[in-house]
Amino acid sequence: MRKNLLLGLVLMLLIAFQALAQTDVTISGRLVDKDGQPIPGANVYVKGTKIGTVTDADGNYTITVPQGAVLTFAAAGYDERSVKIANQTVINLTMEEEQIEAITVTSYGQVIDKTTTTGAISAVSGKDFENLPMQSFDRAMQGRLAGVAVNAASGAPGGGLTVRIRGTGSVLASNAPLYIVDGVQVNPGGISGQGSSNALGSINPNDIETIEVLKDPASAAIYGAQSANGVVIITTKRGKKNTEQFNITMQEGFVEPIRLYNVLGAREYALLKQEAAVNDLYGPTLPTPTPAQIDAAIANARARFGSPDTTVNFDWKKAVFRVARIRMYDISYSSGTDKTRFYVSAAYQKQEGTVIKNFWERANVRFNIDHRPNRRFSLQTSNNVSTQNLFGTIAGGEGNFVNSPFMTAFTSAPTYSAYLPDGRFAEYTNGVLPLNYNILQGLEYETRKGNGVQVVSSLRATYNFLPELSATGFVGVDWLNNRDENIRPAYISVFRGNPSMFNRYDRDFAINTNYTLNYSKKFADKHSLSALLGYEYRYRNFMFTTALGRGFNPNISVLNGVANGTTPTTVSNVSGNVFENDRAGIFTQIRYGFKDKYLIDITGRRDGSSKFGAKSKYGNFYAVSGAWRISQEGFMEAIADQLSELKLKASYGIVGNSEIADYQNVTTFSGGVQYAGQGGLRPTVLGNDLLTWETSAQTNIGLDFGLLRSSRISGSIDFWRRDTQDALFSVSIPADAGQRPSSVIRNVGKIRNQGVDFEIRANILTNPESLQWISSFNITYQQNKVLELPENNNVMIVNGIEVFKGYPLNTYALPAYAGVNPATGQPMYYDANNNIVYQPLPYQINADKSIDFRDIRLFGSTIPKFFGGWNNQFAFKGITLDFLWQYQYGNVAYNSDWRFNLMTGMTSGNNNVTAILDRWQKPGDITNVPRLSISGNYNGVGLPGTSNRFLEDASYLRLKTLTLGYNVPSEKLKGLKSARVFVQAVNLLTFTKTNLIDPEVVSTTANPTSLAGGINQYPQGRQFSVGASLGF
Amino acid sequence: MKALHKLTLLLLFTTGLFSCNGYLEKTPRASLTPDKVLNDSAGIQSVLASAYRRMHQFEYYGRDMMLLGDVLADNARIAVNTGRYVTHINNQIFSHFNLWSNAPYAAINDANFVLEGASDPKVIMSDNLRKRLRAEALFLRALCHHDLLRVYSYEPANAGNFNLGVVIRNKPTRGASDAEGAVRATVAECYDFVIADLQEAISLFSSIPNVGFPIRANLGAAQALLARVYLYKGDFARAADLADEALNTVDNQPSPKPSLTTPTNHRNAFATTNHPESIFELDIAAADWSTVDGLNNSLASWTRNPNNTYGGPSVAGAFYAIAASNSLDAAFPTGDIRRSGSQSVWTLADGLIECGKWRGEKGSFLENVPVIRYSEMILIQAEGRARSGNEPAALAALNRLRNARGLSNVTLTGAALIDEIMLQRRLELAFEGHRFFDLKRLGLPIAKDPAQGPALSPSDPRVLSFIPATEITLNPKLVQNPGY
Repeated sequence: MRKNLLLGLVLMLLIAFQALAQTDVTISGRLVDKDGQPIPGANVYVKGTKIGTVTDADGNYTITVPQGAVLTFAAAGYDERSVKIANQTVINLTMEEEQIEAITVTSYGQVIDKTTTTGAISAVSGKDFENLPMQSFDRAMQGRLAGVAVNAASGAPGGGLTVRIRGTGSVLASNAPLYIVDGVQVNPGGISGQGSSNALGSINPNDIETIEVLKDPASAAIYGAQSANGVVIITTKRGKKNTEQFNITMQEGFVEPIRLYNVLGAREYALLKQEAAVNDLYGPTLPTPTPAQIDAAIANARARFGSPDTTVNFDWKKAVFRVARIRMYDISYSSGTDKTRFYVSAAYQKQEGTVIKNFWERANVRFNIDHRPNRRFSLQTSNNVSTQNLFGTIAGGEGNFVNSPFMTAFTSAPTYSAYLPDGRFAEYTNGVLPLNYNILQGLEYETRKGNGVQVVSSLRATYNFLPELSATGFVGVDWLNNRDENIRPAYISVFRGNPSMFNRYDRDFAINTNYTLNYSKKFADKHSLSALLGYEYRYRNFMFTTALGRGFNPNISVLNGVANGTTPTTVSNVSGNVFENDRAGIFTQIRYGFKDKYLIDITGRRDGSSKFGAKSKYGNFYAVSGAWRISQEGFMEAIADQLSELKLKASYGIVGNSEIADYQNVTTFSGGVQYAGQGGLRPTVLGNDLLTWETSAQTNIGLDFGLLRSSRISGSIDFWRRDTQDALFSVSIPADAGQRPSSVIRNVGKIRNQGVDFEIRANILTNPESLQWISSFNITYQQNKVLELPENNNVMIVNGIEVFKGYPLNTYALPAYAGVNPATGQPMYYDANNNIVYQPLPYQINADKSIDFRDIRLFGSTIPKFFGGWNNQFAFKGITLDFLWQYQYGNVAYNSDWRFNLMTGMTSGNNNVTAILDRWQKPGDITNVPRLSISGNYNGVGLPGTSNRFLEDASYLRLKTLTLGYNVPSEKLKGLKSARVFVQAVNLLTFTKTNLIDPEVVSTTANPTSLAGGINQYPQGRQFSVGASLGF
Repeated sequence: MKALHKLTLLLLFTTGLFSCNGYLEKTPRASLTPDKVLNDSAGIQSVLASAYRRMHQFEYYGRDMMLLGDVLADNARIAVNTGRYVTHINNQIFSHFNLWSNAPYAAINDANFVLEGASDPKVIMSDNLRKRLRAEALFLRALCHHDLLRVYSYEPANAGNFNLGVVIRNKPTRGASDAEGAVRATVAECYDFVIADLQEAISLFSSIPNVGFPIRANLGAAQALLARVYLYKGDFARAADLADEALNTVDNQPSPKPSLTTPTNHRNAFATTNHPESIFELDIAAADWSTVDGLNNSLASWTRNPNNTYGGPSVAGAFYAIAASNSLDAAFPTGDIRRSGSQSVWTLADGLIECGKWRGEKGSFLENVPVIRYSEMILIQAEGRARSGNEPAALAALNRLRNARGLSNVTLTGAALIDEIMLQRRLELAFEGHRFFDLKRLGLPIAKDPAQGPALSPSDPRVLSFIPATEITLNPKLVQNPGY
């Protein structure tokens, strides 16, 4: 302490001597922004001294400084300025606003300038998707970012999405990127079991300032073991100093179903069933039928399926699907002083689904506050509280197929009405309707509710010890509660014997906290150095409780809750569980730049996770990267007007993926079963104490460029490779060992993704008085290949999906369909030599582990070869027109709907898609739709199996969004700052070859034998809306 | 500087709060390590409960083991085409039992854990309990191995051309290395193993007080199963002897003791939890099923007309996948109370002969599954005695069953006697999964109803099921059955 005092005394003396030695001058002046508005509260000081002052409310200041000193002007939100004092006495300055678009602030507080980064980062601004009627921000990335493939996992309102950054690198662990919202790691995924849902839907997209995607190790490696799938950083809007913004937006519209399958009407249906019944009289082991037998079969078919002359022609599709209402209300207010800035917003959005009863709604409140009491200390908090409610519908292979409207609306017999003449629901018992299920009765009376409440909240504190050295502490919470309710009352005839009520309560709580030291300094105007040292910890606790009551008194028809006076005779399946995991990491990053021309970054991180085995709990991750800004070189000056920016960058790194289920590292017994009242325990996990991270070696080489003055055309091209090493596979073990599931998770296998990302953006027309046009285009070309499988296998089945070495993940292996035998109407297949076979043989594994494909061929993968988008923004005197095309090419999808509809579904009382009209009818017919049958017995060989008959090219081009708007000119506004009206359409046009109901909502896993996932998908609708946005 | 202090406090607070307890070490809260489970008698009993629970999975005794033996032979026809069993009814290749990757080996593994735990002298429990747990585990292990043998292998008498049995598992799988590289033992070795397990179970059961509790294995159940195993082995004299012993045991066991149903209670017996004839029965509780299991997967849903011909709890929505074939219906003699009268379990309704055995009497399609019935033992007495030359005693057993089914005494010898015994087996045990295996063990063609195609010759590969291709991939030492 005495030493410090002494040192301070010496310093003061030194300053005093300096002051004595130099002449002081008094400077005064005024700071204004580019609009001439005063900037109050700006710091005016001499660096390295205690000399300083602050501007007053009018932006004026007066300061006395030594002659020859350098006076620094600093204000939050503006670029810092420095002026050397010579003879001036008045210095008036116009401060330039900080270019926030060009910088990225990572969750660890570093500031990355886009021009000097060595990494591959793609960004989309909140302005680009403002007011689009989408339910979650992940949808905003669709078609707008190179290297980022986004597809709807369901068209249900509020439904989930599949996001893949630079390919699919894992079979068993998650392929979803890491999402960071204002520094908080949020968990993606569904929140309700009663319909497709999306935890990311809790964030209102209109609150978002930017979405940035870190695609390569240079940018993502700082996130270590979680960054192998890329990182998505969401920054929400914050208040700006000295501005006040009050906005109200309202939007109303509707959504209509598109691309619904065409099915047969009553007459065609009845005729085809007759034909099938007659066909069944013929067979190799059957005698030729007599005319009497044929008449009997026809009479029988008429009695069962209805007469072709029936007056009943019930349109199940029309009754199940609807044009539904959508609406959004949004209100936000932001303001700020030099010390405190805030942004608050509230929004409500409700979207009804295109299926009756189905809806999703969200209400949320956000408040973001920044407080900076002095130059050294600042606090930032971001908070979002939201609720998502849904009334779900069964889709996407969930549950029993017949109670999905996406199956049964197309398969219910049109000769059977859903209603009795008196308007009550008709109930049938003869099995012609699938399982006697009246889908309308089911939709009307089954309750499928999900009610989630989610809080995403964070606090960041930063302290600047020195202008170049700061410390940051951060705490963030993602907390989700959800309650599901599924009631199957006795009102629904098939549940009459077994009405039930199911409740599930989930709580998912995660906290992440980090502490960093940041150092950043420029030496001798040439060397810039920044360094970061940090520690991070994350804990997640997920728990759920379920209760199922059955055997309610069937006379009590509707159950509204547990305590409604009716008691189940059996309360069963009361269960619950708790899952916990935690992860800790230390990390550092050093960046050095010479004249902002030669740049080098080094990143290192060490992570530990509770998910992994005792012997391999910790992992090291790193990245090295460099960039050369060629455009800064002297020899480029001559062409600076043509080539304003050119940067060559390269990075290499090792990053990790730890997103696997908890507790896979120890052998454990679990309960949840019973026998005759005795609780049971059984081995459920066969442990692997060597279980560890998937690591991914990633390389990126890219070129950023800007053409013409001020980069009127800008873009980037990146060549990348991701090699997943130690890929986690659920390795099957022999079933006779008795372990169920009979598998153990091991780090084996290698998967390669590689490709090219290309983005270009051009300000084609820039005249503010006339037409303006900004166009941006992106394309990603990608390849996926399994390089190595465990134990030298050439094929493995992981989670029910075949993985072939040397081929992309999710490659379909199927018999080749050869159409229908013109003589018999029987389906035919090709063998390896293109000879016809009727019972194609599955592939076999030879003793040397090579594959004998026999009658099986490989038919492409669900991973597209390329994808991207094309976005255009036109403006003409206040009229704006924006539209986004989105496309993908080269992926296949299995049409499980048609497979069911035209094969197994063909044999019962099911109605069929109109493609069945091409069926084989008589010898000589050339078609690929086999002979009709009700028994399913094709000349004694039974129903045809799976083949490539229903494997379709799922490439598509879609006009995703189109917005036409009008900004009312400011001179016409009274008391308003701005006013905008707009109309918009989503999914307006689709070009595709596939018969699938929605080429976007397809199964991304190649699993034709288990229909789950690819069947009964909820398609997206076409949305139209009108809205107005007012600013005060 | 005040702010810095606050920051420091915040820092310490948050790290301290969430990282002091089990830092990077998280153990599951809803599961236990094997050492904890097997060091405690309650834990071992829980593992035994798991083994029992697996026995009534739908791919095993919960459904397929009770019905496929009829579907693959000539007892059944498709009633309503829901896609269920439609390929099995035609004996389409690859449409067969799939026990290999389902319940039996899992139950065997549980039983092996029980045997290991109950044999460990460090675990504190009474000697009788130790013996009982061991005996029950041995019984289940034998039953599972024998069922696998029935499905995947020929019986010793027919195993001339292909004599591989199944993989014998007598040690628990504690780690991945325990799982690998097993080979199929021969049929003879497998039968020796199963018989040894049952003999040890009988000896253990005999040394402790007997109980009458049909939903857990007891002495009578072990003897009855051994009788069945000898019958399959072709050791008919021993089969008859063990059936005698089993009936003697159960006739004298503490209540409840099974007895033969009569013309006045035959149908009702099937609507009774703990069937009066059950020597061994599997208990199924509502908690074992999901809400849709009853409708989607149960015996009652797959065999019952949704109009509920037989009354009792609602079977609304039942799939009614299968009904009796014409040939089964035609095989019932006039006056057979199983086919006519108030106690019939085969009734004409809506043009089909519906099975009345699976009544879902616990509600919501739920019911217990009898695995070994009293009448099966009488039939083994009859067949074992007849095939080992003791025709008068065989006839006595046969007539005992005939009388109980409303039929008069017959006097038969030779092939006619054998034929009548086999007919009674078919009629008595229809839709309980025996028909296919009875034809198979005797080396007879697998008969089919004419509408479903020709009979399968005994050399047809479809007489045996196939080992899933993935298993052959995983373990190249595993030999696939011929023809697959």
